Amino acid sequence: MWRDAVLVGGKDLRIEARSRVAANQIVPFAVLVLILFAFALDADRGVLTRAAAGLFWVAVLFSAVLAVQRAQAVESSVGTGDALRLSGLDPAGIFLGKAGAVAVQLLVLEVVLGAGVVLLYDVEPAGYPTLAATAVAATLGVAAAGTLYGALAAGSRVSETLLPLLLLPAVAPVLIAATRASEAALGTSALPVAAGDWLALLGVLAVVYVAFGVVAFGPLMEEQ
Amino acid sequence: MNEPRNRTSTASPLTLSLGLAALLSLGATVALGLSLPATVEQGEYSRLIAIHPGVAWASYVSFGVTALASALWLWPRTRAPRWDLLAGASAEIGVVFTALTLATGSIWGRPTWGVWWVWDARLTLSALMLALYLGYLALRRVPNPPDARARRSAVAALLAVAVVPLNHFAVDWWRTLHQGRSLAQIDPGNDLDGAFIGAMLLGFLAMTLVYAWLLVHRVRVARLEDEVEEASLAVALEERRAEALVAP
Amino acid sequence: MNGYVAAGYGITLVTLAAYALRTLRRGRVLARAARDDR
Repeated sequence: MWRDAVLVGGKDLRIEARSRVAANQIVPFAVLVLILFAFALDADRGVLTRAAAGLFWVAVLFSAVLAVQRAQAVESSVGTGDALRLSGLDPAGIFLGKAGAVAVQLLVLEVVLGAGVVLLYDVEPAGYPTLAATAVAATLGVAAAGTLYGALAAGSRVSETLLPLLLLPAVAPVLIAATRASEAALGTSALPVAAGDWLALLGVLAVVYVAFGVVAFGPLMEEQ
Repeated sequence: MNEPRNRTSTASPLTLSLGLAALLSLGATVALGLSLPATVEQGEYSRLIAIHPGVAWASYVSFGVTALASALWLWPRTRAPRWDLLAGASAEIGVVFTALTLATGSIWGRPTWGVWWVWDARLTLSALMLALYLGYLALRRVPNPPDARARRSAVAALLAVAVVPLNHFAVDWWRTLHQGRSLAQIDPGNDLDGAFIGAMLLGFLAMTLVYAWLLVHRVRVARLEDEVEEASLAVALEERRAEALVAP
Repeated sequence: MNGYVAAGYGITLVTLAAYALRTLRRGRVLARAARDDR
């Protein structure tokens, strides 16, 4: 399973390295979202700084939708969807590989967005270990959920509008927990917040989504 | 739940008796609820206790049935088309009850807090459930062979079931940070009069019966939909074949 | 009776009735179609 995962994940990342769609389109989109928030919230430095953690994670979620759609499109445009199914690779491995590739791309995106938030929203970076742990746990969960829902919505003409409707409610708890944990790390929350609980919840969420994907991808690939 | 053959509707002795029971209990609930006295804390608004908890309860039941039916479909040994139809039907009814939960919750909170919405744990959870339901129903509407539709919706339903309790924790912790407005604060505690508790329980019963009655009809509708769809497909295939034979 | 309370009961009953009627009507239409097909 892990060998197949590395195989599939590596392929997806190699495709990205060559086509640079995530770098050239998704990252700029995410930064654009940050800028739009600044326009919408009137660039009153106080508001943006206080809301920075939440706005950051919302931008990440929107970008995750695009990243998952891109991961699905890669298969259908080249016609490799069926090839993957018939290739005899372990479905769980395929899931882990695709989710892993999405996670890697999101993590890179988050580093860029983090710099954006520090620059644009006047945030003082602090609590790096907590921030890193939050990012990893949240990203794993979002990438896993996204890959799973991407497979559920795939192959239909409405998949582009269906995916956000399916994915975003399902990762709402990730948004809540990641924002609270980030605020705790940065010290921007108005109330005393313990990051530990939130990190634990993020961990549980990541485990749940990954487990679902690993178990469900086999049955999902069964359909002809 | 055997489907009626050669009938002109989805009714049957089962639905007639269920419907009657539902109607009677609903009537009793409304009568009891509206006859409740005004309380000191909330004036007349505590009368909503007869319906808001009831519709919320029904929305949870719908959700649970959808999840259970989905699991039964996914498990190879119990797989049967009826579980898929049940899951879809229960979800559609669940949307109705969840929307009612949000509406009655909003109405209940408005006079007390002066706003149409409070970000309390339970209303937020219901709002999320509505979003999950709507996504599930949209997924079911994607044109797919019945097997694929059943499989994909079943996975989505079970994932939703996992997400709801996790979101409950997240929202609960989040809102307790704020100690703000919450429906739980205006909800009756144990110190409420027996009549109020009675009205609430009667509301649970009534809404459960209404749900059950709607479910039987809705499942039959779903089965008929599939039947009619298959028949029209068969007709179209026959016509196509006939054309192929006739064409030079 | 209070307006909000009336609205609460009213919306609930009307919505449930409307959904019920819609379902029953669909059932009737489909049952007739299915019977004619057989």
